[in-house]
Amino acid sequence: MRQKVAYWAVMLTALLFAAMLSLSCSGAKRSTRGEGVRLTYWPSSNPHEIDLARRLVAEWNEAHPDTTVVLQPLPEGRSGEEVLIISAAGGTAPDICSNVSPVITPLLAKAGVLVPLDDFPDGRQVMDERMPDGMLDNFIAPDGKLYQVPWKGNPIMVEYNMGILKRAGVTDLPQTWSEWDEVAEKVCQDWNGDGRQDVWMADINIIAEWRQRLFDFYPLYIAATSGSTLLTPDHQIAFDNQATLEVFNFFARGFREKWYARSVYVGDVFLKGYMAAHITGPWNIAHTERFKPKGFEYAFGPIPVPDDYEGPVYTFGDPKSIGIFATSEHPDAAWAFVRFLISREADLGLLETCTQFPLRKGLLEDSLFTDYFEQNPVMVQFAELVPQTRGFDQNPALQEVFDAINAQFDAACIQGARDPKLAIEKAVKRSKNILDARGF
Amino acid sequence: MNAATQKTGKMKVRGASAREAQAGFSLTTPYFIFFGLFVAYPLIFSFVLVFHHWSIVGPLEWAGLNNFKELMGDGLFWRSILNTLYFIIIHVPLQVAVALVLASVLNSKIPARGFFRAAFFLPVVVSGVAVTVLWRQMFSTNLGIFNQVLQLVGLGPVPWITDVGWAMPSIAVMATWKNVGLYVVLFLAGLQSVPQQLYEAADMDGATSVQKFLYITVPAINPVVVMVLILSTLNGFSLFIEPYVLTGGGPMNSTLSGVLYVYRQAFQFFRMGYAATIGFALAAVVMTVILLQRRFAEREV
Amino acid sequence: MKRWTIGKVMLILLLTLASISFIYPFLWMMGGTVKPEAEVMNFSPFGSTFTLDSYKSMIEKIPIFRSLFNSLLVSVISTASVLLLCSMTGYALARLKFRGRNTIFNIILFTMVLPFQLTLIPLYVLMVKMGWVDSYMALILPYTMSPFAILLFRQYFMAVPQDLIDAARLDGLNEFGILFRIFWPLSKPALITVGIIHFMGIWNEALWPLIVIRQESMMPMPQMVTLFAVGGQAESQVGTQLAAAAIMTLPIIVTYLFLQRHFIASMATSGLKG
Repeated sequence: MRQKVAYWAVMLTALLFAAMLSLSCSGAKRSTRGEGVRLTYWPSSNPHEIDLARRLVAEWNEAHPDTTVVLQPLPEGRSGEEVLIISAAGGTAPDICSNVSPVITPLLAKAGVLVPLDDFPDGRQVMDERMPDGMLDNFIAPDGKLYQVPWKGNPIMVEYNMGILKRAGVTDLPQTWSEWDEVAEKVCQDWNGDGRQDVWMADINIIAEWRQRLFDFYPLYIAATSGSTLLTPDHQIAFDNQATLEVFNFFARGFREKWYARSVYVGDVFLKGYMAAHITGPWNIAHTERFKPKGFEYAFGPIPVPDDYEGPVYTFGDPKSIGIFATSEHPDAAWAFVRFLISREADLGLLETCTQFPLRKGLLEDSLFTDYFEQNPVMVQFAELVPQTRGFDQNPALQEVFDAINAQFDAACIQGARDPKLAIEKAVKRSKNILDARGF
Repeated sequence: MNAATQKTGKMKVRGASAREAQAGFSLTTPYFIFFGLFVAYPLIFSFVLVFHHWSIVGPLEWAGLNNFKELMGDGLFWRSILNTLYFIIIHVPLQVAVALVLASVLNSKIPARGFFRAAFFLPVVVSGVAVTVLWRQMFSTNLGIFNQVLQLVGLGPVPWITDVGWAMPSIAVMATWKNVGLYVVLFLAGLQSVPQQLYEAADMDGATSVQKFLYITVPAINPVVVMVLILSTLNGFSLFIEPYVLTGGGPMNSTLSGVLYVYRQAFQFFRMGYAATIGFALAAVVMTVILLQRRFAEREV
Repeated sequence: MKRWTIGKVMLILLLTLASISFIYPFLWMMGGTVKPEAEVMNFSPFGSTFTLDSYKSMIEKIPIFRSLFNSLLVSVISTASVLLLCSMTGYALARLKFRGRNTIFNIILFTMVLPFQLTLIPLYVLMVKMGWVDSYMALILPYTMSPFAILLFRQYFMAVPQDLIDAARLDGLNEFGILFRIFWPLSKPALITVGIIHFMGIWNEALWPLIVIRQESMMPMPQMVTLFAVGGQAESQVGTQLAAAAIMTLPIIVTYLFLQRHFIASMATSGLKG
């Protein structure tokens, strides 16, 4: 009797748990290795990138019967960063992932999760040959090694609603800050005569999340400083300068003059014609084409720069890297596959299938790409920008530095409640504390 | 069988008591497993974490008291505590007041009471996410229906969730709208438990309705008020999804709640040690506030 | 008593206004899902034309039915587990004498006042280390028992007369037989209360899934809708966001309309736990 009770209690519980276990289909199980080398590859979950990855993997498997690549799309829904960190922590990381944000590579590198390219005899050389001049430095880790293959980028530009500009009598796209301000004066009006302003200059996102600053503060800062980033190569603060103050003033002025609405946007306010401009990347071309109302005309212009600025206009490049994980049992085979992923032919596929830009030297001069750019003239201005893009400093505390700036941008520019100079001092102070605590 | 069962020897029938003890252990085994895995282990591990830096990948790094030191000087943490308290200070009294008014009205003899009660209760059963997604659209400064209504009576657009001063009160109002039905029902039960004779006796003594409310109704429902206070305070400290969806913690961190800050440190910056430290501090604040409330409220009774 | 005094009319007016304010937003939401996108923000819940475009594009973008299934599965399993395991524990605590019973009781009381903020991070780490992230395990296991349910069952079971138990034992029923054949049928209100409260709690939980689930196909509704509303997937289409919220809301509202009394009574009991 006693045994019976105990037996049933244990059995019932066990059954219940077993039922759950059998129901749980916990994602990526490591595939058992048969003969030859097997590599797991995670591309981004974006459908275009999956298409490209499928094609490339098929080509590769055809040509390399001894090295089989298995494709698994990176689970979607959340920031790719988190997925990678969790899978690395849980021991389910792939061999190769092509959706590694350079924001988290320092964190992963520090934890020993990524294989440095310096481990391969030709690692650094291949990258030096591929990358546009001066761009590779932006991807080097604090310890001087390169833990990622900088793969692609999306130069950020300004998309304009030409209908709004024409109605306001604007013919030329603004290039400088004063030209931007002039256009803003003209378009921000009450056009339907109901006594309320109904067009704004741009949909600056007022959600105080640091990522939003990648589409307002950061590109303008990069442009105003001829391609400087937030930190120096030796991990000191670089944004404690006049340019940051002027960019803050630029946005504070806009919010004060009501050129940007202090509103949480519902719906696509740009395509609905409430906004004259939208700071965005080439991916928005497809979105615009799909959702634009009839007769909607648009054009892309550069990130506005200070009035006395001379030289090429730099911008934020929203880069993504390929990473090789240290848990891989075949790092050399993985590196061979990565070199295939960044070959010229694969890069053409990236352009054609995904309309994203490979971080490659001389895109416009290379005969392989000529046809593509002739057929897609819109893409030329983005391609020209690729060598002038900047990404993220390789520091594990960078997100927090961004967050410190974001908080002050919110206070000084969006809310107009703090003097920009004081705000930047505060951001610098907090960033210093953050870097100090990490031993930089 | 084992030492534990033999010691329950005071029972009259040894066999029966041993059997009972055996069954008692068996039946509580699942709870032991549950407690060990999901309560005890996390508690201990949490305590370990607060003395470490950890990005979840890689090894734990000993941090000593650095997390506490950082916490003391972390303006954002204190801001998040103050924000949460601010939310509670608006939300709780508002909730009690509205619920009390609606419950009192419902308690009088009027038609369709069941319908009204069901209507007030409707938002309680709906998920907070749906409510927040819905209210986000209604809160929109330039396009939302709240401001459309205000415009009809000639009032300017109110920056509901985009202004430092407005954002937290707006969230508090939304939370009140969502939860008040539950408290109406609780108060109504309290009100209905007041014996009718008391009111009749008071009527004969010529008491006014205000007097009746103060001297009969209030003492009778005081325990319910205490309970409502504690419940909605606890709810207040778990404020997360509303600011997460509506404001992301802004403007100027005015809606950054404690839980949202933990979430940010843990899953945006991957600072598990520091996030656990904030969790500890938050728990301490919750416990303190609830204890103070209990003590204060019990003295009042 | 049938006189309609001015005061009474005012009261009814007040109640009517209040109930409109509680119902109208939901009507507006439902209306918004079947209006053309350009009219979603209009005050009226009715649009110029009836269209299901918002639902179509929402279904294209997110696996909403998969997540409806996830929500249902997770809520049902964990509710069943709570009813089973917590009634077992509650029965042991209420009717069986054994050493350590008071300790267990005190532990349960202690866990009830334990703020969840304290264990959130380590619990998540546990899920990572066990490899349960992105699985039903992570969504269900931490919700297989609830101290509130145990205490409610205990309280309810204490009121069952001892004679019934003695008689059952004489008939040769074991403790499970007693629990399921004698106590369960006598405790329907407790079962309904625990069932509704727990089901609703899991069905509406957003924070925990946000932490442990990343894979879209594993997400329950609240997480799916939150990320859809906050992230870029909705491509800024308001109607589709409202449609997602509507799919999550409708099943609960319909159930509520049918089981209104049970819902209200149960939730009111849950209020009493403090």
